[in-house]
Amino acid sequence: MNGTNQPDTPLVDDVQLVYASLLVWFVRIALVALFTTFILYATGIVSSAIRISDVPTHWHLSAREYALATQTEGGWSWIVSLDQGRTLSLASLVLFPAGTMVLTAIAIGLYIRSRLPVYAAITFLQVVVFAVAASGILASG
Amino acid sequence: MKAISLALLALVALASPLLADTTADVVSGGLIQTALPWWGWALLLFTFTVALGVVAVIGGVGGGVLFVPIVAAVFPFHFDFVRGAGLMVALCGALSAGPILLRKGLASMRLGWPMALFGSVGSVAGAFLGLSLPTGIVEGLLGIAIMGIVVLMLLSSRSDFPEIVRSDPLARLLGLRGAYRDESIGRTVEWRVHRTPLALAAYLVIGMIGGLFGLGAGWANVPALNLLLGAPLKIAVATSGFVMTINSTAATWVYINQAAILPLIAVPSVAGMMIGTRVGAELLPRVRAPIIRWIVIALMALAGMRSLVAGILGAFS
Repeated sequence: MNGTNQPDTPLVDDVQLVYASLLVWFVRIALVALFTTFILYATGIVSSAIRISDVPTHWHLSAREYALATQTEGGWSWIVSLDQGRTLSLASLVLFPAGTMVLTAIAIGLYIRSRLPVYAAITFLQVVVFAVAASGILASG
Repeated sequence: MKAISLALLALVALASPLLADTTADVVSGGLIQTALPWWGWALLLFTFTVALGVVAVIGGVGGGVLFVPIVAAVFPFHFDFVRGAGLMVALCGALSAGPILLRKGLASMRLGWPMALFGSVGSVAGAFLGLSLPTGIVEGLLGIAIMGIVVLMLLSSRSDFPEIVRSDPLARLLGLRGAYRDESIGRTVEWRVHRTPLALAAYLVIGMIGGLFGLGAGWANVPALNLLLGAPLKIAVATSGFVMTINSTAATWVYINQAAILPLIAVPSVAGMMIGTRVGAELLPRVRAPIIRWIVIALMALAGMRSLVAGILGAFS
């Protein structure tokens, strides 16, 4: 440990402060969306092709068997049925990884502006990893 | 102490009837007729995860690592959905705690990004592997992993302020150093790290285990950052949360793509765990944490053994 009263290293860099400020708002919005959409789904205010009361009859099946039994397609197919309660609730869960991905993409610009090219490259590669995972390319390939 | 006892009692009381007979509800045609309506399950899961969250914080472990083995043991959900919900629990919890730790400079994004990049590659690979292997094998492997984590928790020591004489070239290139204000000693602490290439390799493995089993990887992040890299303990604990947000995000995309996340399981779990961890954090200064920690270790060991047995039975059935 190097204990000092006046450090020559800044305690928190600007990129981290901007990222933290954006994260606060993102988490608030995502949590409100999470609980609101679940209430809409659970109360039946927004209807679903798969009723919430039917979910427990299938949840002992594997993800693949569940998708077959309920005629749910994998990948991004859910995005075309956002008018359904179940899909709306799922979309609010997707907000969390999607928001992290957007924040990481913003960090690329922040690091470029701060003249930290190594970190801009690392965060760019991170977005590529997210994009590959999110695209489903590996699953279909 | 009463609140903790109640939380543990709630865990045991809730678990007993479900553990006793979860398969009796199976009827012909492969569907199950459950004893409870959907909202009863949601309420039960919510209550259970509140209790789990309280115990996790006081026991000094991440919620994700307790959630997967224990919920898999207690509830009749398929293991795929438990792992999907486990990742959501780990991701939402780490994101919620993130801003304050980043602003205070306790979490270091510069230290976290390179580790998270390697960890996320591992976690994507682990998630694919977990969803393609037979359930029995994954469950058996989880049992082995949980037993390993229990041993790690029992044996690993921690160092508040590791002495790093000289950073390695990669750490110098990446500028992996920083400073934070430690209120407990009233001083600003400067830190640097070493053994960066070794830590990056370790993160590939840590990420893979997290993605494979849907576990948050705080149990491995903290020792890797603290003991391997030599970051001060407070930096290691806080940066672990940041790394977890990135690694869980990568694996969560795979589970979403494979339709392995059910809102009816994930949302009550996330809500319960968030409330439970907040209650746990409030109670932490007032309870005898070492006793709770031993109980948590015992619970994990039991859940790990159950997974191992279920995996072996599944492989031979």
